[in-house]
Amino acid sequence: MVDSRDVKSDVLHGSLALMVLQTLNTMGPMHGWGVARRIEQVSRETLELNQGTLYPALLRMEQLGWISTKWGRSENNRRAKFYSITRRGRKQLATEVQKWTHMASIIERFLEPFRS
Amino acid sequence: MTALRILIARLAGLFRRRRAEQGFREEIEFHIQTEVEHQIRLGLTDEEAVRVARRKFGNIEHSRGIYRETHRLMSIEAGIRDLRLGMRTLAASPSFTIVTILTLALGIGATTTVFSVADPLLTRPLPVRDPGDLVLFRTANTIDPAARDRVPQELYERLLAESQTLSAVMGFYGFEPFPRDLSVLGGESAPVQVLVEPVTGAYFPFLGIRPAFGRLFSETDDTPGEPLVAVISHGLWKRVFGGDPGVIGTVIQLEELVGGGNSLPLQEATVVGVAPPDFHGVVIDADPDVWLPFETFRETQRQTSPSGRSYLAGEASNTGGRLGLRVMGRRRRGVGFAEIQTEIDVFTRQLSEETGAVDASGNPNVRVEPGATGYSELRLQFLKPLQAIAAATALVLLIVCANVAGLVLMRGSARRKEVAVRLAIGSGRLGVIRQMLAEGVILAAVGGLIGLIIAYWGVAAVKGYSPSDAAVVSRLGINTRVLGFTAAVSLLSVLLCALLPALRISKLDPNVVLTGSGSILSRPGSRVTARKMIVAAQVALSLVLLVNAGLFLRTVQNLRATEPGFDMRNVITFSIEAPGSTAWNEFRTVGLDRLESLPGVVATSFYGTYGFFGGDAGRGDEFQPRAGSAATDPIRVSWVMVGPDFFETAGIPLLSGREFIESDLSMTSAAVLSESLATTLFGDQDPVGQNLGPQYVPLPIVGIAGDAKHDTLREGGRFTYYRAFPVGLGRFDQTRWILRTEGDAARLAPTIRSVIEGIDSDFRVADMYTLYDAREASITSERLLTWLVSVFGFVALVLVSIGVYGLLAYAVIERTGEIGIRMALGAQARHVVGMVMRETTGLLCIGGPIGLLGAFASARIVSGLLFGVTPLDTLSIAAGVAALLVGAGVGAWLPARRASRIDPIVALQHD
Repeated sequence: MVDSRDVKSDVLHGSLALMVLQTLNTMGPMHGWGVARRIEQVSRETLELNQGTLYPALLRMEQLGWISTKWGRSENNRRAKFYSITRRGRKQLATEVQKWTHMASIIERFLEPFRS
Repeated sequence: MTALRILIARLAGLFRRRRAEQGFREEIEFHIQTEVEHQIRLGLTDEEAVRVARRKFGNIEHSRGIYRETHRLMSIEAGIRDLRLGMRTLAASPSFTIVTILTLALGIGATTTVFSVADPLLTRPLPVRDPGDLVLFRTANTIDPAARDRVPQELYERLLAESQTLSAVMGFYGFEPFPRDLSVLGGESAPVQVLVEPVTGAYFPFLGIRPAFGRLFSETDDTPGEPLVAVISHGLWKRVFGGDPGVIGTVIQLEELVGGGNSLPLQEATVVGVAPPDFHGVVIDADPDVWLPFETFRETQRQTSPSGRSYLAGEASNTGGRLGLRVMGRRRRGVGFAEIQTEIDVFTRQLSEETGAVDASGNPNVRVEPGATGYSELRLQFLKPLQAIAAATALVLLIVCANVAGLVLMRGSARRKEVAVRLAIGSGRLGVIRQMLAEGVILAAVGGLIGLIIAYWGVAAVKGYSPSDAAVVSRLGINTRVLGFTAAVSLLSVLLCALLPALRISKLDPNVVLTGSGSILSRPGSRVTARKMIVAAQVALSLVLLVNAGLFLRTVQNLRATEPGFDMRNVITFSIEAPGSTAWNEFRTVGLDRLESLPGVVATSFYGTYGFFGGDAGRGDEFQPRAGSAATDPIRVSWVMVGPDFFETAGIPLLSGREFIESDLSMTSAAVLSESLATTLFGDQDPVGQNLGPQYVPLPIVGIAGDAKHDTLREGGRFTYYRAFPVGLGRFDQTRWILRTEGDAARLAPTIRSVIEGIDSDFRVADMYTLYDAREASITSERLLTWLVSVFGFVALVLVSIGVYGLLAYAVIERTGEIGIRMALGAQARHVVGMVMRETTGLLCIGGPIGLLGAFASARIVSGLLFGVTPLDTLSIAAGVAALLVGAGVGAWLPARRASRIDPIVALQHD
């Protein structure tokens, strides 16, 4: 079913929140499609984001108080729900970034022998 | 904290489900449309663009499913699964489940009972427009307590015309509506007794209620010269008029019941409307049946009465001054009570300077109070005890929750491994909390239901015990407000008793629990100290209740031991329902003869229903002491109309003079005085042969009887005069019959019934009781309090047992390892028992003294209700302390025994 002509990777468990938070932090309030598009762009179309899973994830982040929502008008003047990062979300982003870089550096060190 | 935040968000989500669903759909549509447009911009055809957008989004239904799951607290299936699992786990530990449910049921039952009694009396607002704005006025009246809270009519009129702080004012006449006979003009049926309430024309517009039928009268109807109109209650409409809409326009005749012997002419009024079903006036104690416009009514009276005066509002001869009206006002928006008070003070000062009106009534100070709940004599009388009981109940409920939380904690620590396993195998913390919550819901639902049953029974018991036949009491019951309250209390107890322990337990670290890295000698930590304080507080509270229960028990005992001055067991009295019959005098001669000829009957007589037992203690005359007598203040005297041989029949000793005889039974009549009244009025002189008066008619005094405490067994009520019953006034519904028998009179009841019904098959014997029952009825309020406080005391005691049990059982589990080591080192079972039991001494040492202090303080508050005991009664205190020791001992013994049976080997492997 999945059209996999390119080598695309699934979104790694736990990293979606980080990407959403980072997107909202740098880009300001955005609607859901914008967030999805941004993630595609940044990954240079190499990330297979099942867009449908984005919305439950957004809801969960809203419940956790990381992001807030507001209905507004899109650029093509349609009614859309806009997401923006909250203060608690920024704090969460900071810890996530720290955790992620920490983890990445460990993985990096594991992989070093194969590189050389 | 994260789990809690999500839980709260999802709880909130329960209420916005539909909007969330719609929002989700809209969001998805927007997303796919935008994606399609984006793909078209990239150069795809319409069809291709739609296909790509769909593919990139994935399965919409799947996504919607996850979204829903995330949004809701739980899916319905998951909820059912949780509840099922909850029932299974609860059934697996039946002792925990039963104790917890019973504890909850006791707490919820007691709270609901007290709420359903206290709410109508203390807090339920009147069923009128904006009850929160209502203001009522209080005055004291030293001359006549029954005239309390009346303000002069001049003040009412000034408020009506000039008040800046009140947007509307209305007045009504009485706290106790006049009893009248009502008959329908041209109607066939016998007169019925109704309660009549004269109110000003402003009354109904002020209250802003809608009639069930017809119209309510207003100012234009309340003008002298207008025809007299009447609004009738919904109850009367149903009862007398069968709910017939044709009642509008009916002319009713009102006749005053024959009371003091002065009869007034009939008054005729046209019915214009029916009040709404839930409206019973602004005095919650009595339900008026007929409302009449005050001024028009008064004018009609002036025209029809021989003296040309109305007995309303200060015009009658014996009221001792101006009485005026009871008044309610409506507060203007934003006006405070202090501003209203200031205005009233100015008005009353002006009035007293101008007319002396205020001072003449003996009540210069008018106090303003919130009036949302209306007037109630009963509330004033029972406010303090009811508040005390309500406070006690709230504490009982808190204790219940603390106890249940304790039980759940205790169980939780026993279940730590189970929970740790569930967490370790990946069950989310939210899932664990949900599971705990499901168990809490089951416990609280079952507990709440049983509590409701207890409350149903409790309210019935309170009604049965009630010292008052006030209308508000007859309306007590389980209603929607009560159900709402019960639901709220149950919900609260779920949250308190399940959520807090659940949150704590879900924080368990599986690694620590499962590897057993906790210390074998783990000492009970600060949590246990907090729980100890809770149990100590329970000890204190239950001691307060137990000591008070003892005081009330002694009060009832003392009251029962009081010599009432009449024969109790061998005297029975009853009334006869004789619909439509006027053959009262025939019955009096024939019927009493037949009753007297029954075997076992010693004497027979009759008396008027006012005054003697079940009569109104406040109803009476005021006597100025004679020159030379001991008393200087006017004394309040109650009177009773009685027939021949009354004193012999009731067993009241005649000290001098004679009984009434047949020839006394005329309008000129004769009087017998109680001993105290005779001494107070006449001092050393012999009153027999003198004249009692001069207030109404000359009454020759023919005898002196012993004091009979038929009003109250307490001090007072000693001043009574008996008047020979004028037989011309005799009516079945206003007399009672009295028999003296050999041996217990209650056994004669069936015989009496068959005799009466044998005279006329339409006659029915009603309201039959012995004077012993009457005495018991006169102390119902004391008995009710004793009963309530004892029940609560017992509940609190049981809770102390459960609390001590929970605390110690928890401590024993925590200390299993330590106890195992002690036993391995040779500690005997009885040492272990002693060690655990000793844990209670601290609780008792802290809770006991605090409880005793509380008991003194509360006993002082209710000291007015005590009789023959002081708040420092040693016996009550000793009994309370003893009961407490037993309760705590029982609670401590079970865990102590369990501790003593710990097998050291198992205990040491266990951790």
